[in-house]
Amino acid sequence: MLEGKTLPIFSRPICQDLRTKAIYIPGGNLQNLVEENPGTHYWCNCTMQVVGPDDQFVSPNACKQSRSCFNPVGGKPVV
Amino acid sequence: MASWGEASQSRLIGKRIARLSGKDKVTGKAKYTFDINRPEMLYGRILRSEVAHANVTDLDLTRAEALPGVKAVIPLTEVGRKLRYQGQEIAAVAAETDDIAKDALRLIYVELEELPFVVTEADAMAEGAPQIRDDWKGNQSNPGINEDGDVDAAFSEAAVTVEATYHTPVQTHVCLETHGHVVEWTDENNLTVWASTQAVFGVRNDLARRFELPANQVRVITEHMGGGFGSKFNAGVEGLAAVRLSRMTERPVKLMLTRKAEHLVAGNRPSMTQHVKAGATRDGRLIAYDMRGYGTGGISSGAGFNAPYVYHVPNRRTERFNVAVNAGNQRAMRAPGHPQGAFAMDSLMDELAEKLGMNPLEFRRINDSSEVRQAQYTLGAQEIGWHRRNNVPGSGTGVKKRGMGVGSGLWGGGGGRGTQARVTINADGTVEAVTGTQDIGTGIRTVIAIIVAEELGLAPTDISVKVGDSGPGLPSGGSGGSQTTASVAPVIKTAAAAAKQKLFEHVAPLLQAPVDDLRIGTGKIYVASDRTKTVTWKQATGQLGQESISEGGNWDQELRQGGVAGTQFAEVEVDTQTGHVKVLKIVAVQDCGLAINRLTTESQINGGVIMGLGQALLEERIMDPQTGRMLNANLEDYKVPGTFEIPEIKSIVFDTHRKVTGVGEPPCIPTLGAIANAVHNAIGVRIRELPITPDKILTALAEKKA
Repeated sequence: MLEGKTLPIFSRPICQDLRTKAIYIPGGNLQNLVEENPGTHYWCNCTMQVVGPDDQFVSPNACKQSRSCFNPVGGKPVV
Repeated sequence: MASWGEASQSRLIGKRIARLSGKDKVTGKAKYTFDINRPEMLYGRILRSEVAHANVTDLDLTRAEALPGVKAVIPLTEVGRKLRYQGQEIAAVAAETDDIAKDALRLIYVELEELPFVVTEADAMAEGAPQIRDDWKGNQSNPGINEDGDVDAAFSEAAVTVEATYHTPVQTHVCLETHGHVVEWTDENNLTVWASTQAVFGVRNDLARRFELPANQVRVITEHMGGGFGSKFNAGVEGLAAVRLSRMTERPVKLMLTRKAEHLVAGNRPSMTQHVKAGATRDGRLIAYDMRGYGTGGISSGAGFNAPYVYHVPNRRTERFNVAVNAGNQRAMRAPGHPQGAFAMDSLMDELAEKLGMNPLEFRRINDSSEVRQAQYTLGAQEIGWHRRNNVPGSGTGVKKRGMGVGSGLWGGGGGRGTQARVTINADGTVEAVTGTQDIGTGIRTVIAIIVAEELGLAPTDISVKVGDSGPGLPSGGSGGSQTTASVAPVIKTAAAAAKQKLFEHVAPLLQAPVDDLRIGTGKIYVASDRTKTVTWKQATGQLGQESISEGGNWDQELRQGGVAGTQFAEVEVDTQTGHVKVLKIVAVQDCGLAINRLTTESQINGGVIMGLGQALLEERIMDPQTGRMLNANLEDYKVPGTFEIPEIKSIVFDTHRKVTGVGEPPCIPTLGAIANAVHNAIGVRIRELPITPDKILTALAEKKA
C-alpha cells in the first residue's frame, strides 16, 4: 500500500485508519491525508465506512486526537 | 540511459498480441473470486437497511442464530447508531447454503426510528431540509473557491457570452463481478482471502491492521477480476464481515454482494451541476469563465469535477461544493471528475462557437494549447468526415437526422514507485515473471509477458506470469489512476534485463566471447562480432545446471511519462419522432505513449468509449424522494450499453513517444461531450442534462417548435 511512497511531512498527528484512494495507488497525493480536500472521498479502515467507530464522519479535519477512536501513526490498532 | 529502443527494432512491443488469459476467460477456465469454492465453505449474506435514514432502536439476532444450518450471525450496526442510506449494513449471516443464509436474514429483528431524509440535491439544499450531516451546514460542504485574472473586466470585453446549466447524474460502477471475498483462516494466525480487488497489497495491509495480524500472515489472491473501475480498493464492510464470520465459524466463507447491493453501497460517480457563464472575443479567444457548481457523492464528500477543463481561460472564477443526500457514498470511478467536467466544457465550447458563427473545431484549435490534441483534431476530423457535418445545426432533412460532434480530454497516468518484481530463468529454459500487481481486466499479465519475452528473445506464451497474489511478497500498488502499466512495466523491463545479463555471464565462456559482445536473438544468444557463434535458448539456460537466475528490477523513470491528451468525434442519428439517439460511429484518437500491446490498448479505448456512451445516453441512478430508495437498483432499469447501442468505434492509438503511460481512464472522458454536441448538430436543440434520453429529445424538439 504505502511501499515505495514518500510520506509527506505531517504537520500534526494523523489517524492511521483514515483512508483515501491516494494511499493505494502509486503516485497518489498523500497530502490529501493531511489537508482536507472536498474533492476526495475519505473512509475509515476500522469500519470501511465514511464514519468511524464512534459513528462520526471521518476526514483529515474531523479525525482529531479528541476522538475516542483516534489512532495516530504508531498507535494501537482499533479492533 | 534506459529506453524501450526504436520501434523498428521491437519484435513484440507495440504489436497487436492476444491477451494470454483470453482463452481461459472465454472458456470459463479463468477463476474469478466469485468462482472460488473451498471445502466446507459457508455462504455469507448481509441484511441491509431498506430505509434512507433511521436510528437503530432494537436489534435481535437470536432467531436467525437458531435456524438450522446457520453457523454465525454478527451485527454490523448497533442500537443507538444511525443508518444513513438504503443498503447500509445491519447484520451478516454465514450458513451452510445460500438459501439458508437468505432465510436467516428474514429472521433478524431490527427496530428502527425513521428519520427525515433527502435523496436529491435539490431537496437537500432546500430551505428547511432535514440536516443529515451535522458537520455540514445546510447539507453542503464548505465551498472551494478559486479565482484567476480579472473575470468581471474580461466579461466586459467579451463579444459573446453564454450562460447555461449543465447536469450529469449519479452513475454506478456496474462491475460485472460484484464486490466480494472468499475468506479462509488456515490457522488462527494466518488468513487467506480471495478478493475481487484492484489492490491486492492494499487489501492485505488493511486486513492485517484491522485484525491485528502481521502483514505477511495475510495472503490476498486476485487471479482474475471482473471490473472495478475505482470501486474496489478496500475490503469493504462485506470483506470485514466475511473475515469475522470465518473466524467465528473456523470455516471458509464466501460473501459476494448482490446486484442490488452493488448499486446501493459499492460506490458511484457523483453527480454534477454547473451554472456557468463564459465569454469569448470576436476572433474566438475564450477569455472569461465563471462557474458555481456542486455534486453529490451521497452521504460522503468527494463530488469534485474539473472546471474549466482542457481549454485555457485566463480569467476564471470557480466555486464548487458537495451536497449530502441519504444515499450510498461515492467512490473513485474511471477518471474521477473528468467526464462530468468534459461534458459541461465541451457543450459550452460549442455553444460559444455557435454564437460566434464559428466552426466548433476551429474554436477549439484557437483555445487549446496542446500540440498533441491539435494533431488529433486533424486526424479525427479526417477519420469521421467532419466536412459532412451540418453547417447549420438541425438542417438535415427527414425524420432521422444526423449530426457530428467533438470532445476532448486529458489525464496523467505516469506511474509511480513501489512495485517489486522478479524475473526468473530456470535451467530448463522456462521463465517466470512475478509481481504483486493485479490484472483488473486491462491486460497487465500480457504486457508483462511481452516485455520479458522481448528482452529474452522468446514468445509471450513462453513466459509464466504470476500476478494477483500477495503470497510471494513482491508488493505493487493498486490499479488506479491509470498507473499500473507505467508503474509495473519499467520494473519488469529492468528485471528482465538484469536476468538476461546474468545469463550472458553464464554463456560467455561457452561462446568464448566477452559478455558485452553477446546479444539476444529470437530463441538464441549470439556473438555480435561473429554471428556464426550462437547457442539456442535451451543450450544457454542449460549452462545453469541446478541453478536458476532470479533478478529484481527498479522503477526507472526514464521508461515512463505522464500526461496524455485525447480527442473523440461522434456521429449520431436522432429519430425526431421517437427521440431515440443512435450513435453511428466514434473516432477516438488517444494519446498513449508507448503502447506495449497495441491490441489491449485498443481494447481499453473501446471500453472507455462504451462507458462514456453509457453515461451520455443511458445511465442514471434514480432516487425516489418519497421513499428514499433507489428505483433502478438492477440491470433491467439501470441501463448500460449493450450490443445494440455500441457503435462502430475507430480507436486510434496515437503513440507520440516511446515511454510508457496509462490509458485505462482517459478514453471515457471525451465521449460525453462529443455525443452531446453531435445530437445538437443533428437536431438543432441542445440537451444540457445527461443522459440524453428520448423524453428529453422530444421535449426539446417540442419546445423548439413552440
